[in-house]
Amino acid sequence: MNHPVRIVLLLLLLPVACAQLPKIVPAPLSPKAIRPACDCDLIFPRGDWQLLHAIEATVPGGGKQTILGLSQVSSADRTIHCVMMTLEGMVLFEADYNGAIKIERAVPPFDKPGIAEGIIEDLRLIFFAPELPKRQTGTRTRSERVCRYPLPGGGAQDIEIDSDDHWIIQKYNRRNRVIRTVQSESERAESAHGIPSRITLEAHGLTGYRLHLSLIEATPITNQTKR
Amino acid sequence: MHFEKVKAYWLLPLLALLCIGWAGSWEELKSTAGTVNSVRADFIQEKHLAILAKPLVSEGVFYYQAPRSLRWEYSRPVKSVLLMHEGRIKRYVKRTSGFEEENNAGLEAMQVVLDQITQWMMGRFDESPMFNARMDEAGRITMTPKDEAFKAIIQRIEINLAQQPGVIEDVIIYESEDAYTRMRFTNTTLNGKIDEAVFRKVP
Repeated sequence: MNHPVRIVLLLLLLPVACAQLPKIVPAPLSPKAIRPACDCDLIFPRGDWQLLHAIEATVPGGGKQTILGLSQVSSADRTIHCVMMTLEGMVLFEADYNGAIKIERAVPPFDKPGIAEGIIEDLRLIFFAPELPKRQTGTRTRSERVCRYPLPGGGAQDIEIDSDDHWIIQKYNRRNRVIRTVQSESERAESAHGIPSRITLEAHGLTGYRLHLSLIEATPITNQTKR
Repeated sequence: MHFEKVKAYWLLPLLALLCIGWAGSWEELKSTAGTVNSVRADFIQEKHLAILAKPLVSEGVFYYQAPRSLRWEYSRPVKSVLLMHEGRIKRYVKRTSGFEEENNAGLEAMQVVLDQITQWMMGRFDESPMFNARMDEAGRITMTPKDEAFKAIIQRIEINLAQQPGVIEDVIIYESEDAYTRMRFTNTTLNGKIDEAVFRKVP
């Protein structure tokens, strides 16, 4: 193998080889902390909720499009019913998730392979606490509390919470590279029932995208509101 | 069927049907439709889905000026404006920094919609290459897509004409029997003067 090729290969492999999860500094419970470090999963909505968001999607190339996202989520059952529609009301995508995905409706390009799985994965990341127990807690420079959870298929998920209760979720693949970042942007006072009024999800990589979710309405689902 | 075209076609009934007139026959419809030069109306859009105990409600205002100018504006839940004027089509969505133009390929497909509207404005529903149209005695027009792929998106459209000539009461777009969008129009003004800036400027 000639020299330039080896250099190129080395450069290509370097990030993979060197990637490691950011360090978490083990720390005793801060007396200033409002909640202990072990409650990172309290950022997720508990109970059954119907959430309506305006979703501003920025796709590769910079194009922007705004759609409405209706999600019915149940934290206990870990189920999701998701509907995405244009502002004019046309349903682009509708699916159920209860461990498996059942697509009710998908118009192009939402009918492409992998799209439904990607949407449900993103919703699970935003709305559900990690499935497995955390394996590490502590602090990081920018965060008062950090919890790290292993992911069932490999990889890890960090939840960081700062002193203002802003939070960041980082999802890492098996090679410890960040593949998703979810961030709450609103102040506590702007949140509805503890659900942030603004959330940003960024999918990293060549086909990355960014979603800005603005909460329009959060309604608890009760027997009366269920249909 | 391409997504952007599907999206554009979705607007067809919303845009054109507002302008048709009360009619008892296709000929009468064409005759009445031909007298409408401009329309302004408030609308309430109800989205009904099987999972919803109560519909999602959107509101806004609609302007049309013959032959090819349009403003379709939502005031809630998301402020947005679709403008068509002199062959140009633009969409704006309100963000924290103000109205921002959304550039996406779908707007090009709206040209197709404009061409359709021109036909529909003349009341030529029964001549549509996209829909089979049927009018019943109660003043309701039912339109069914001819194309099977399109039928998977829109099952049928029902248009209920109001008593007042030139005005319709509502439009119901069925995606399925339990998933449909109802547009109710109120405060409809026909042939009033509409400032050209309405079709060019946002907000």
